[in-house]
Amino acid sequence: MLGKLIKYDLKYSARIFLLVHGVFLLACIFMRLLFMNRIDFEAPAEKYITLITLIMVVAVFLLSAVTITTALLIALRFYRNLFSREGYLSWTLPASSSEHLLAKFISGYLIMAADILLVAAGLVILLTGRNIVDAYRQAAPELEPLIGSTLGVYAGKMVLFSILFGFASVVQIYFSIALGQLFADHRVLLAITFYFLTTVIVQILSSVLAVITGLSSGWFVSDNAAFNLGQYTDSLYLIMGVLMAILAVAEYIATNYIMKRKINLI
Amino acid sequence: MKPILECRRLTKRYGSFFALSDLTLTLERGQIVGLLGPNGSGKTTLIKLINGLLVPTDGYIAVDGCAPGVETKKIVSYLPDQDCLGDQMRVREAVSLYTDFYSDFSTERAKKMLDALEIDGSLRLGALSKGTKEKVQLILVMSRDARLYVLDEPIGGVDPAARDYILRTILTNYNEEATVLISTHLISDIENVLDHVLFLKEGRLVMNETVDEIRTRYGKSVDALFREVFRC
Amino acid sequence: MPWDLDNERPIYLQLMERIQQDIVSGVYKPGDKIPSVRDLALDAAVNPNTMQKALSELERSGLVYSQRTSGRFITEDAGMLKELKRKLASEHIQTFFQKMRQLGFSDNETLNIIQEVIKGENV
Repeated sequence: MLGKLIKYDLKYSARIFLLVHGVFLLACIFMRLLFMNRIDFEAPAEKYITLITLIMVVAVFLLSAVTITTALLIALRFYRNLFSREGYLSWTLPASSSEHLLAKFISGYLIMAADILLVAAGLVILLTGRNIVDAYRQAAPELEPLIGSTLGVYAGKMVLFSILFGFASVVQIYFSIALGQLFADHRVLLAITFYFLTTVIVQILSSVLAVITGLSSGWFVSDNAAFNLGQYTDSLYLIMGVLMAILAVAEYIATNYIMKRKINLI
Repeated sequence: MKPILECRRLTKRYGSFFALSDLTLTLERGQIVGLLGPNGSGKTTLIKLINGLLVPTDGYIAVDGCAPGVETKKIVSYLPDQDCLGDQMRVREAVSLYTDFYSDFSTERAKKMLDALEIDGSLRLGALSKGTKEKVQLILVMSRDARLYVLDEPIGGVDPAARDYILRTILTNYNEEATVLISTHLISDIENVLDHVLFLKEGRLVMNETVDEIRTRYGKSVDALFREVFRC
Repeated sequence: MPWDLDNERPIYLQLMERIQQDIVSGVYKPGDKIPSVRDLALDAAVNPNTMQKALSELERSGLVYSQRTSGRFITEDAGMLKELKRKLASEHIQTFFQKMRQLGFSDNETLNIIQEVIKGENV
């Protein structure tokens, strides 16, 4: 049953997901071939700074668009399939509410992880031209001591972290929607509000934690020349990760409870 | 054998509004039962409770002896009063969805009925007319070999020819040991196919009789009696 | 042929009458097999249980009989069929006379009118 539910979830999102990510990857390839590869980093900086800024702005814009679309796809599938009129069919399938949630969680997570990998792949395509690699080699002796590893490893860690904790964002989306369903009216609006509220709470909590653990002050205050951005981000990821994991587990349990006990389709 | 549906003092309250109050009811197997009442009398509330789409405020409800859940969903075939298939889905995908999820679904029967109506399986549901979409949904629901069919307003808002088609589809496909619960406010159209009628008024069960009992006792049709009971 | 059921009287009674009518008018011949309950119910667009009840009542009256495995048949008892025909005829005549009385004709006057009409038709 679980497998079938996941299959239909993935099938639902597949078309738009593939379209959006296909466009993103094509845009990355396009930008690299037409612009990035032609930049001469040996030339004075003012000659290429405008172009490279422009490319970065476009890349960040596309990346955000793709990521937001993915999150919307996950949210929309959850909401439509379980709480809109389609819910009349979904909830009368011979599956328990826990199975529904688990299926949505797994499918949502797979989509989120695929999104992160594809976005990372797009950036790799954009940023690994020979001219950039050469330019990086020149800067590496200065940069690498600061981040404690090569840039590749550093970026790899970021991707890994995003994938590992992508599940927290998926659960947060579901939790917000489920919470919205507890109310008689304005369920979607409330869901969006809850989503932002939980985001704010996570940020406040992580800042508080950072202060408590001395992460935010300690590293900067020390005049110690051995300040290491790599170690700093590693610790930050660890703290954020633990916090998000705990919250995600709590949210998952709460969502499961709401779906089991409080389902009231209008 | 346990009754196919049993409710005891079943109540559903929204705030201070009782959508259903103190409903006690038993449905036997092998019957076609009409759930009758004006709009807002609690028909859909009862149907949603049977299907586990709502959680009761109070009281007991059991389908074949079990509280609504995975086991009851395997034996209840439900036609909602609104369209519940996504518009982007193709007819053939809807059929395979039912095939995938319901072990009592007869793909062959569904295909036969769709062919008879000359509905193209590759069409998206959003491209079908409202009436055709309703027929597709009914065909899916009636292609299951369920023990309880719950049809919420299957004949609401369709033309007389479609109404005949729908009634014939129900009569042809339900299994004789199964119970069919049909909610409607258009009684005269389906009166002849019912064994039994339940009248709901403001969330309460006010009548539970067989059609012929009503005709014998009151000398009038269920429709006429209904109009009297619910006169404004 | 549509079953044309009316709205006031119990459905099973109307179904019985209709089947009796079909027997008398020769739609079903003595010894004929009757369609299954389900088919008849579909044809009449009524509940199969109601059709079942109508057939059971007819069976009780002896007009149809069932063979355990092969279904229901019309009786071959000619006397019974004749009896049924007479019964239906007298029912029709009684309603007719009742209506004529409502129009203010005595039974004798009615008989005269009938004879006139028949003569008229023969001319």
